[in-house]
Amino acid sequence: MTGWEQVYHIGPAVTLLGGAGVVLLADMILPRGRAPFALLTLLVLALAAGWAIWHANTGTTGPSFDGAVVTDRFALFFIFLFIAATAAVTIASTDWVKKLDLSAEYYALLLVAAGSMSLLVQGNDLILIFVALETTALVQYVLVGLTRRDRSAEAGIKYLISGAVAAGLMIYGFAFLFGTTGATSLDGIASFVQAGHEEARLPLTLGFVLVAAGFGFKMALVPFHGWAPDVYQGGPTPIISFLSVASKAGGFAIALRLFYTGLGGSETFISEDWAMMFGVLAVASMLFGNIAALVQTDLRRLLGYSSIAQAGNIAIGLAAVSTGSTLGPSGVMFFLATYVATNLGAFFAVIAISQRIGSYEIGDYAGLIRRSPMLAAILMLCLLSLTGIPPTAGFIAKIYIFNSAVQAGEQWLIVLVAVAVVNTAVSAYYYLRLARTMIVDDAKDEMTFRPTLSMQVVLVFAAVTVIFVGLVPAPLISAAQRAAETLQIQ
Amino acid sequence: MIPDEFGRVVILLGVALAFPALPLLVSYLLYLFHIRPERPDPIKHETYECGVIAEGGSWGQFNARYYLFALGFVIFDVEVVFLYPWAVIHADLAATALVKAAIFIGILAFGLAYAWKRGALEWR
Repeated sequence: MTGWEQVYHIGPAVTLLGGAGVVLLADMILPRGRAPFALLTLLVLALAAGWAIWHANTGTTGPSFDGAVVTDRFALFFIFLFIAATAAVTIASTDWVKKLDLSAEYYALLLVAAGSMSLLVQGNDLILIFVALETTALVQYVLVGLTRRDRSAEAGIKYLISGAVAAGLMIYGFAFLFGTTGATSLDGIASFVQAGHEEARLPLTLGFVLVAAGFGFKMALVPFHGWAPDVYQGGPTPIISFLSVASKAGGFAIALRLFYTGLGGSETFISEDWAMMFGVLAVASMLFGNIAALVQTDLRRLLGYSSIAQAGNIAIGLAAVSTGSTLGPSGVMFFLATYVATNLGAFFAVIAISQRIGSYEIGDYAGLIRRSPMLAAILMLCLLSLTGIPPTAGFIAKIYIFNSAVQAGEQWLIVLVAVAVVNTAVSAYYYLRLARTMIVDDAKDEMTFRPTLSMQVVLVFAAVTVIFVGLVPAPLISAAQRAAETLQIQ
Repeated sequence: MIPDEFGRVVILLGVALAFPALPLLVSYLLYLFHIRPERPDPIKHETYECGVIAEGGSWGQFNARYYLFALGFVIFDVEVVFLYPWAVIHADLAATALVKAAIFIGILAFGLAYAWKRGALEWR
């Protein structure tokens, strides 16, 4: 295979990254800030999605670039997820961007983030994974600090510094994995681990613990969560909505790839070790995230802590992968897909409401159902889905991921699920308290309002997705299962 | 016994720690036994900056423009680092290597053109 044919395999990523250049080029050629950037961005996303669909249909899966890149269903599943999230954020933020004098840069950075994350999930080599992950992170630091107001700049700096520490830990872990196994390709590491080198248990454990620290930062798992509440509160909310779903999905995707495929599958001498590690991280994240969320009064901080708790829920799927079945990985993927729709819906509703009432305080949301029935209803639907109440997508996702852990039949996994169920009850308190504030309490201001048209489009789309997946989950579940099957080592 | 590779690293670590510590220790011992005189002077405690008298505090702020130029410089510095090995062996490479280098330079040139257009190269 020559060099040029291989580029075909990373087509979606190349399209997205090249598209970022086109957006900037349009800004250079046309009068400043006047080009239809949002349309251009959506066009680039559509092209990348088309390419990914082409891959999915023709079945040109397999390694390229000497095995550093794989184009499998697992990668394509996440590429579709990233493209959908980026498109939704692009549409939702059109109004917000008008106030910003950096619109071309904003859309270009979004595309770079989507492109590098697409490359990340195709990565099958530690070096490529690190480069793609850090490209994503670099873009996100800039995006968080984009408005350069006090809070935004502070959030950006905090995110940058904690991210740099996480990247350092991760590359140290990569060094341990490489030093122990003598390979940077995940296949090479996998065959070393599968050969049963028990004497290498200590350096391997050091390696994957450090790597988990780096990935845990992206997923906002306790104890690597410190940045989340501050960044959620300080950063520009449309960007945070992107961050909250895309960064988390990217982190979990690459954790699945590295731990499930890279560390030699679920039947090795260390698979129980890392599964237990994720179990501990899951419990810590759920407990801390939910307890801290109980006392929040700022909605953005509440969503920040809720995202930590949800990361704990998703990590149950990682803990359950040592069972050998694809239930764990596909549970993670299905949960992430529903989480993207649910969390984006909740965030967009919060953006639309807070742009209007000028406050993120929960008390100011009082009586919202009478002021803007549509926004309040959609926000409530998403809160129900985050809690895990039928008939929403979040309910199915939680049942599925809990089931994957129970099916494994190990005692500690059943304890883990019990903790998760108790936590779900705790989380219902703060999610539904917000719903109660919106319905029962008296509004301070009776003036009604509606979101803008572009916002309505994405809100309705998110709400329909949440309900549709809740009622008809089978297609998405089977897509996740088929994608998870390609993760397994043949 | 000749130590292995990591053993040598430990020896190097010991030498590296002893190298700055030893003169300080000797100086202190000489002072302790009244061999060297002690004559404190504020000038002795000033920051040594290659003989030039230090001006202002070390927390002074720089114009952010310096960083833009520094960033621009680093990008092209790295470009040269990548192009050197390429230039040395490019006669042995296929013709596609030329195109690949051209793509690499093209991306950087696009970045420069963008920075130029946005006025990042002007001193304001």
